Formats: sequence, structure tokens, C-alpha cells
Amino acid sequence: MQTDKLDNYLRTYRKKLGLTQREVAFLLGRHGSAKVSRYERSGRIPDLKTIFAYEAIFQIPARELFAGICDRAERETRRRVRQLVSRLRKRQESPVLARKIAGLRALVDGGDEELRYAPITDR
Amino acid sequence: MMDARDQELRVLAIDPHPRGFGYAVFEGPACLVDWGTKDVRRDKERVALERIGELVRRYLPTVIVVEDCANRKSRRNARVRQLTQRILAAARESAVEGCAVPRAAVYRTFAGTGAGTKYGIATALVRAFPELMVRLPPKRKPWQTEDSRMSIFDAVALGLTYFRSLRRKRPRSQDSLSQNTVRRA
Repeated sequence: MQTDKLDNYLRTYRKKLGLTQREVAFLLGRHGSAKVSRYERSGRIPDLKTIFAYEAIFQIPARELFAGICDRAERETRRRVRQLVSRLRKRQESPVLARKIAGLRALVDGGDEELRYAPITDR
Repeated sequence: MMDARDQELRVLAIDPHPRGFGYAVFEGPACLVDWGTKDVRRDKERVALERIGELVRRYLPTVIVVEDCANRKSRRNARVRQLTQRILAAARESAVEGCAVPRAAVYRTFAGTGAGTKYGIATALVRAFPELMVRLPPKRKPWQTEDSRMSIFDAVALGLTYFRSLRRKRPRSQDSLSQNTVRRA
């Protein structure tokens, strides 16, 4: 039984540091704690600047702070990559297309697999 | 040693007390996601169930753990006993597994730490989860009523006892957890 990760762990890390929502709001440069509360309840996704500020406050990478959102984005992207690969396969074969498909398949099959390019040789 | 299957479980442990309830959310026995108390002053049962519903919607737990108040040795008052039963019933309705953990099992879990009292268990928990330090109330004097913050520690202890009971049961029947059932640890 696989439990999906929560959208974010902002509340967990804030409580671990013993900070109040108001104090976090101050650190983020906000006036009130309302937005902090909304971010924690997943009522709103913070902008990029705020995400980096959270990273700096908690010293935790964004992909861990927003684990659920990150997992979902990865899943959806992989699904779209598969769709794109199946669309590209219908096109006329060419070396450029083959390399593109290999690159995309590497994304889906193994996240850690490195893209390998054939060495460029002088003709 | 922590089992990968434990990490997949999100557990919501609830400890009702006369003025509300304490809760703890785990993702595996080593990861405390959230903890706190909710104060309920009027229409206690209805409001407490509403607040628990909010927690369930927010955290989508796999299991809800409460104290086994049906146990002969339980000294909880009638309202808390009834609330506990209703929490388990609500869990069944929302297809979440409910688990009732007897108080004795909690003491057995912490016997190794030398904690023989609620306060002893709370201090043992602070050693394991230092973030709980700020919520640890001063030791209760015999003439004082219990601090509501103690229910956080009771909830955390219930959650950890649940994980321990899982590990004990696993060798005999691999993953005997079933959805929508109420178990006694």
C-alpha cells in the first residue's frame, strides 16, 4: 500500500525549528501570517522567490519541502514524455529523431541514466 | 530497524482529553509530520469529530490510532470512551483503517526506556523527538489537573506503539493490514 507524499512539509519543518507562522512570514518578507497558513494548508502554491526563501530558512531542498507536488509533477511529465515518444515514432525516421527519442526514453526508463552522444568525428 | 513498509504508512494518532484532543501524524516511526492539540469547548463530540475530519482530509492517513477504551482496564470517562468509538466508526465510514491500542501496550513499548509513568514516557519521547521539547509541560503535582499538552505525548506514544505492534506481527503474517477494519493492537 503506497501512501502518496503530502503536497508540502512546510508545517513540519517550521514546527521542528520552533517557529511561529508570524515569524516565518517575517522571514519571507510578508506582513501577516495568512499566506504562510495558506501555503501550509496547500491552499496556495508559493512563487519561486518564496520557495527559495523557504529553502534558505529550513536548509532543506525544495523537492523535499514540496515532495507531493514534486512527485506529481514528475509523474505527469513522464506520462507526457511517453506520449511524445509515441508521437515521434510515427514520424519518418532520421538520426536526429532517433537521438531525440533515445534521450526522451532515457528520461522515462531510468531517471539516473545519462544521455550518451556519439562522438563527433571529422568527415 | 525501520521497515520500508512502515515508511509508506501515514498514521494519525488521536488522544481525546476533557478539553479537546491531542494528535500526532507519522510517516513511519521515525518521521513525525505534525503534532498539536485542538481545543473544544462547546458541543464537544460534534466539534471534535469535525476537527478530526479536517485532519483526516488534510493528511489522508492510512490508519487512525486511538486508545483502546473498550479495554477493561481503561480509566477514561464515558464521554471520551464514546468519542473514541465514534472516531473508529468515522474511520470505517471513510475507508481508513482504525486501530485501538490498549494503554498497557504503550507502557510495554516504553518499558525499555525505564519510563513507568506518563511523564516518564513524555521525557523519553522528547529524547527521541527534540522538537517536542517546547510542548513538554512541567511535571504535574498531585493536586493539579493534567496539562492538555500531555495529550500530544500520549498521541505520539500511541502512534509509536502501533508501529511497534506492526513489526511484532509481521513475521507470522506478512502485512495482515486490511482496509476498513478495526483492529486491536
